[in-house]
Amino acid sequence: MELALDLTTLELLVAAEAAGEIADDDRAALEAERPRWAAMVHQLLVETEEALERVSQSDREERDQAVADLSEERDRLVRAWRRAHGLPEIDEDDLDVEDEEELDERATVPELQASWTQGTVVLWAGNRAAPPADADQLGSLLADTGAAAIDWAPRRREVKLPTGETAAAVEAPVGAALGWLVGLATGQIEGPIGPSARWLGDIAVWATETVAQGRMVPTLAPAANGNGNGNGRKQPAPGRNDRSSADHVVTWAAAAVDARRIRTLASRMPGAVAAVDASVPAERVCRAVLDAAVDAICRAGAARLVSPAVAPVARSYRDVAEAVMARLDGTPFRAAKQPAAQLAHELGLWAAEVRGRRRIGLVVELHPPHADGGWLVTVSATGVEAQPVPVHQALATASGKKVKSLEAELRRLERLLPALRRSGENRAQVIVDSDEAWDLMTDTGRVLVAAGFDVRVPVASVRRPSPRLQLRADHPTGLARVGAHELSRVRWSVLFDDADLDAAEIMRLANEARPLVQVKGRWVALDRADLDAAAKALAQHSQTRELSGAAIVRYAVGLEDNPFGGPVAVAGQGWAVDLVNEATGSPPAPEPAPEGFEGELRTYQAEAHGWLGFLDRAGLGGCLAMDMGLGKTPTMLAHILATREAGPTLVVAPPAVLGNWAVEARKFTPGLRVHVHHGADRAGAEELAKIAADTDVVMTTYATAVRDVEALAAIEWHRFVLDEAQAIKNPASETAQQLRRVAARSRLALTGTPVENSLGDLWSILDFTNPGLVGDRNDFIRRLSTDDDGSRRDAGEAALRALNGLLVFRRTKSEPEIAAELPDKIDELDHCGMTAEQIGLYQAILDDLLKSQLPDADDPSARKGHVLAAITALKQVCDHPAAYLGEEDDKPLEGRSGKLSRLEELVDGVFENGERMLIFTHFAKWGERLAAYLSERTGVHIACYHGGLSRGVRDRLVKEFQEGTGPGALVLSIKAGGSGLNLTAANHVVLYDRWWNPAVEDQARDRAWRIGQKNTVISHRLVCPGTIDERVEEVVAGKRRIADLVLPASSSLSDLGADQLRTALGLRPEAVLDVEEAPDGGDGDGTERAA
Amino acid sequence: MAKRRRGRGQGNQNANQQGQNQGQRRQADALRFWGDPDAKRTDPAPIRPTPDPAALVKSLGNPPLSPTASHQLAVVYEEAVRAATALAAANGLLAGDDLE
Repeated sequence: MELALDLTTLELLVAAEAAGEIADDDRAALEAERPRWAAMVHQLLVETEEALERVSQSDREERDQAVADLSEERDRLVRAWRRAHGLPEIDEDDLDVEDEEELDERATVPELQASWTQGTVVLWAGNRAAPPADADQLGSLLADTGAAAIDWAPRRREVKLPTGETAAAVEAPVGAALGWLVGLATGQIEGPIGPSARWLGDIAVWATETVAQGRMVPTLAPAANGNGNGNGRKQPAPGRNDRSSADHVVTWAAAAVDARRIRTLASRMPGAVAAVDASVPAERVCRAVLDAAVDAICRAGAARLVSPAVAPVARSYRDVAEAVMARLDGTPFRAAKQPAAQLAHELGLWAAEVRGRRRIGLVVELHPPHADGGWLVTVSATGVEAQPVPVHQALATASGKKVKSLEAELRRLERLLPALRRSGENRAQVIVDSDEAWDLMTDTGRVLVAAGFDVRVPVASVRRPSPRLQLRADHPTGLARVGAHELSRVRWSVLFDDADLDAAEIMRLANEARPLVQVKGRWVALDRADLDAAAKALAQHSQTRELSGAAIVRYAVGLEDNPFGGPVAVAGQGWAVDLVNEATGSPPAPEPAPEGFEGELRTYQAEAHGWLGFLDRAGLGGCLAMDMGLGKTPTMLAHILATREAGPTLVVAPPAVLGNWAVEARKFTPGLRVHVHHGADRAGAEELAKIAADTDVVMTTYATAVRDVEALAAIEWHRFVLDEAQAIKNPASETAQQLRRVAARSRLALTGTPVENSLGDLWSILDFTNPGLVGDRNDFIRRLSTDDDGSRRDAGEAALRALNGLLVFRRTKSEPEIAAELPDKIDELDHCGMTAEQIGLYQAILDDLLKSQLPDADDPSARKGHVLAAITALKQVCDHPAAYLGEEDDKPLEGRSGKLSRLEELVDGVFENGERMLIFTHFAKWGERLAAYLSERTGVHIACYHGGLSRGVRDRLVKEFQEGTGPGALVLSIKAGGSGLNLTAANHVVLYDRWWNPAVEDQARDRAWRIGQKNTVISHRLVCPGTIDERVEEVVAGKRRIADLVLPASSSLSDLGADQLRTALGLRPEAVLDVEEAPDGGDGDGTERAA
Repeated sequence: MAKRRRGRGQGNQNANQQGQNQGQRRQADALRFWGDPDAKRTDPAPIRPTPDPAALVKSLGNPPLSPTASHQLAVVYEEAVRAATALAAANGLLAGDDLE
């Protein structure tokens, strides 16, 4: 590059600018070459400071004048240096009186100050607007700042301040105060600490860094009284009246010191540091403190080693050398003056290149390899010209002194980087192999830095990147069909993070001394075992050159074998690639609730809504697997509303939640046209087809759907939704088989527990939503099973994570961002069916009530008691026939109650999540039987808490439940356990039967929902529609009183006649969900018929 | 401390100097002595101990001591680096490994 200014002109302009005598044009020329300007000023500054140091140490008469002149010159250059770097001027005139007053106000509190003199730290206290502290005040400040533990000695002469006042002071060798000083700089020690003390702390940190990097050298000197560093060497060597010998001491000094750092620190040294000894320039103070602190740390390190004995007086050079090695901890030793002086001189020469002010420096640079794989190392010199130049060029152009220094530095460098010796004539560069390059990036580079060289190497990482198989699909050609069946040509490679390597590149790397690749901008060394595995994987897949869209998706979600396990990365083009990329590369954006949706979607619901939209666009099915209570129903309703124009949706749900679907559709999407296809009076096939054509959503139960499968299959559905889709977990069940006959553009499954028993459950759901896409059931289970001994739940969650985002949308309450959005309690109403046995008993009790002789109307209290007893019996029947029959009933409980079936589903879901629940009932005997039944069914001991237990037993039950972890439940009588207890270990509450007073139910729920509860509490109220349960629900909801059903508000229950009682308590056939039989084939769903 | 004087060619500043009052001068002197309490402090840079404590000694070649001095010095350097590392660690100054 051609330079605008030659060196001579540059020097002239830089000097003129520093003197403030530069013309505008010349200034512009300098600014155009700011880096050279800055480098030149820097060079002048270094030379001036060297001269200043030399002069200040001389004893010539004109010393003071020379120091003053050079100081002035140095100050001008410091200002010029700031300008060359674009830094603002520091101008004393900028300070105004207001600043002064403000500062004075803050400066009235005495602060701990530190001064330096001959290896000693002197502490005193004062501030610019506060009187200096006396000895007592100083003692208090030392205690306040953690300095009292140091062995401070009172200083005989007080510190004299610029105002003429004096301050009491204490002093200690720097070694004693070192830890405290470092603590000041790092902020570990707080309190009234003045800038002078913090400044010494900064130097102490620098000294720590210097020694940690090994940048120090030993020196030898006669042990004067107070040897300069003052590190506590008070014990002289055994004294002898021998004038030819003297006490000597090894002193450690900082090496390869950064001169700029010295200058920077010196420039901000408060004058208080020199309050005791003002004769030493700031830079020398800085260097003296650094050396003394380095010496203290090194001596402490050396003192840990056992020192060999030394001769009483070291008389020969060899003796002195041995004494030096034995006394590296700074202990004085006696030595003959002449050989000691000679050794001190030799030591000085040995360390000269790193000890004194450094004129030149070397820059080692490693350049990334070119095509041939060789790495280039270059060496440049600084301090010869304004910019770094190749070292061979510097050797040719530098002055004699600098050449000598350059040679010495090169020798130092070659000792640490022997590869440079291969460079021959051109000492500026050498080619190294990948092994040497790696060593330079990871190890030797840091060593060189510690030794004082400037090192520039590419960023490396020792992290081992994991290999991952990648397939790249070409755009489908020929007659291939679009979608899961389209065929694409594929090529295989292996990804190490973002490094994409094909077989040829892997082979090339395998032949390298060390296989290096660049991953995410950092060089990493590949493991040879990984390379071998990658080569084998590619060989294994080399014959697979064409894949269907479905197979590509299976690879992408880890459902096809590959040597590295897990998902295969997918790139290229085509239906499957686009699908995978859209789902995983940049997941679908959250979609807010559509217009017409009453309410707002939470963040994760909006994400699910966006994912459902993605599936819709892709023509894929999927499983919305959000935890219970996270709002799957409103999310799906939002999606149906947003896509209502595409065609009708069929929703199939268990009877317990069908009512909830209808309620939530009215609440959230009142604009949707909803038809519930259920009951004896439901539409026939022809009519249903017409209804579907004019309706947005048709809702039905599993049993009805199976029964009317022909009619449903004849309709062209846009979407087919299964709620509580674990109902089809058994693919061989009648329900699962029949429902597969119903075609739809997309099939969606909703479940909070997609893996109830095994991964086969999940396969059944996914194979229903996307027939054939996830492959064979056994392969699916094998590939997604974890190798470790994790629980079924762990394996299920791992599988869901693998599929999440594409075929599954999984969210759980345990995710912090979801938990943060959830309300602290959720109330859900679950509609439960009635078995034939329940309906028969219910009707019999009612008939008995109405046919029997009711007590006379003149005795309203007896009449009321009779009716209430019947109501109690009806409620027991709704719970379970066994709850009514009591001890007379000795049959198994399973399959005889819709409520019990629903409770079983809830228990399974809660236990699946490892959570705990409370189950409240009004009937203690039934509660005991229920607890025993659930214990046997789940294998988890479930107790019943009721009033018949002693206080001690009840307390123990509560304690055990609260202290338990993992799946658990406690059945409670609502009378005994509905208030006063703290049961926050549970976050699910089931109100198995209802009570007239809602406050009683709230109190029961509040056993879990109270202070100490960390999770959202979900309460389920179980209700049998069309029965007394529903009437209670209406009363609880405040809609009416029981008697209001048939009489004016002023009447009471005892006023009701037989017909009125039948209306109030009887079954409403159109509403009753009659569970006909137990779940088929373990699919969890009952087939029911309308009563 | 070295006496600080204003540079040449700053005539406008000289004029200002003549006009400034004694309070301003006192202020500057006080700041020089006590330090600037408002000076922004930056946290010390993290310390990375050298992987080879004796690197500097090696770079200098054999010291003018005994034939085994390099080895003995290396042992002392290791102890010194260890002491400095402990001091840095105690004050939260140790850097993490930048190589991950």
